[in-house]
Amino acid sequence: MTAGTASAPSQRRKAPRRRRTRASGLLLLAPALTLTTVLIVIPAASGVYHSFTSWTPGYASPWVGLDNFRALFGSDIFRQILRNQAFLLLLVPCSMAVALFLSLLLYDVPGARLFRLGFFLPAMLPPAVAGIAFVYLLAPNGPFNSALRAIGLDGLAKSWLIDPDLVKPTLVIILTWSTVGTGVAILSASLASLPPELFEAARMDGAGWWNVNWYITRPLLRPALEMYGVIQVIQVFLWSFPWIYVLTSGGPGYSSTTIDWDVYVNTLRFGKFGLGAAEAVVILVIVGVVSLVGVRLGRGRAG
Amino acid sequence: MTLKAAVGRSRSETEKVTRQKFSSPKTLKRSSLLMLLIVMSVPFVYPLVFLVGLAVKTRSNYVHEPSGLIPKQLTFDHFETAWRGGALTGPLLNSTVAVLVGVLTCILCAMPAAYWIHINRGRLSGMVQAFLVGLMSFPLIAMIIPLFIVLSTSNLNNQIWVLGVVYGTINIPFAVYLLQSYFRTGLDGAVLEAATIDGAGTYSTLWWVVLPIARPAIGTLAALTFIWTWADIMLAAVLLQDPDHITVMMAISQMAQRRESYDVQLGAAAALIALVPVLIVFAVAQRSIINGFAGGAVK
Repeated sequence: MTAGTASAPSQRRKAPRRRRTRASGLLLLAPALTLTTVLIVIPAASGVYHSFTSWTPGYASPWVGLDNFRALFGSDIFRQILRNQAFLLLLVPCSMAVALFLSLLLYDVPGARLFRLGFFLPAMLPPAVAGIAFVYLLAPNGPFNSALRAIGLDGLAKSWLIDPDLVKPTLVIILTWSTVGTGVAILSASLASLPPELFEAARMDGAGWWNVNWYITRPLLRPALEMYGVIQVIQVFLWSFPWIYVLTSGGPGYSSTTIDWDVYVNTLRFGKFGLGAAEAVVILVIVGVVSLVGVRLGRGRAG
Repeated sequence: MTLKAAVGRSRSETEKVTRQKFSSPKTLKRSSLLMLLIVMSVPFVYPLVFLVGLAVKTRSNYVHEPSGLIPKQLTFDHFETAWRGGALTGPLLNSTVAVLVGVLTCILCAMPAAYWIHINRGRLSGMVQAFLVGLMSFPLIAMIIPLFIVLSTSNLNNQIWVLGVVYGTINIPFAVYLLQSYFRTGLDGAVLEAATIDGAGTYSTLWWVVLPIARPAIGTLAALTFIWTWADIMLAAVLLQDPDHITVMMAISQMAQRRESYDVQLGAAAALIALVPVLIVFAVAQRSIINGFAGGAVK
């Protein structure tokens, strides 16, 4: 393809070699392409198709057009779920701010690697294990509330994971705790690649910590920040399931239900396969849009 | 002035500033910075420390001081009970099989694919790369339910090795991304050309030349895939419906969900047992992992 512009004689010379490379090449590519297509793309396509049917696996699944989607967007529960997802997106600015702050603190500090390790540790803890720790920690009579009561802040000792108004902010904080480490790793590396004389020059010109960081560091860190931002948005829509599974099971009621949790519950507990498939399509669209934005940002950076 | 000269000049100036730092109020600033960092890192480490404390206290110590951080009396009984009960050995074995199959599948598929993308640079290769790497942000919930249905009808559900292959497949995108960027910066075209001139075919070059060079990247990849796969809940919860065939993460979450009869200390011990493999892998590979995450942004 790239050599296609060559003149006829050189094409004839090149053709045999190209054919050999292509043939052996395909065998290199085959396992990865086959597995991803068969196990990811085809099931997803099937799911999308069946979102337009009244899906009853094993029996006839008649076409129902947009009925599942109409039911979805007409339902109060789904609207609540969308509100939940929107709230959970607070994770993005929250974790970006904390990660940035910590990375800046760590800049040029002795023993930074040890601290970075400490901040990164939560990212390596399986959600099930960390979730169990938080369930005990935040229990109504658990250590966190006991500590609050011990210093006289009885009013603040709430049911963090059980109160419908508190469960989402609590989740955002827990998710921030878990994902800040990744941001610190990404941002620290980006910071380290910046020429130090830039900061020295600014400092010698009398700029304070805030000015230096706001006007110089921040724009230079933009690519890394954008990358981390996109990762965090994907975190909210793709990787929150295990936390919901261990911490809240979507409850109380539907106050902490995410879209993917609802798909799980709708299909495996209630047998509403068509509805679940429709919800999966919604996630696909949302993630697709986010990825496109991410790619656009990346291209803008290169341009 | 050249960059080299600028760097050289600023280095001596940095030394001057550093010398000033240690003999002025800046020292106070530095130690208060360290204090701040220590305080800020406490919440990140505390939950794990707390879990350990919980699992290690004797029963009476827990009853009297459930929230005390320092255990007054130590015991390993809870670990023994969690282990002896047998509720963990099956799931641990299942997790191990699933993860090993997953890591193997992932590397065996991604390595040649990344190599192909590298040596066939061009429009087609770009499209293949975009496809494979783009799948990194694919919402798995959209494929796991239909996959579950297909597997159920062909009687392949509740099989650990099937779960393993699925694990491997969903990690291929990230693996290709990692290996591919490693090749781009670390695989010299001259080395590959030399191998071809010496008469090596594509596969020999892959095995004898590329593989040894890529070993660090493969190590990081194996470690990360291990950690993520070991921690997985969603795929296991969907594909393994049979309570006799669950992974260890599912086992401990189910233990924690049975709130009525729930033994908090036993649950903590079980969770820690389930954590050990992750800690081992992380301890061995932590430097390359953290650097691996960083590598993507520095470009």
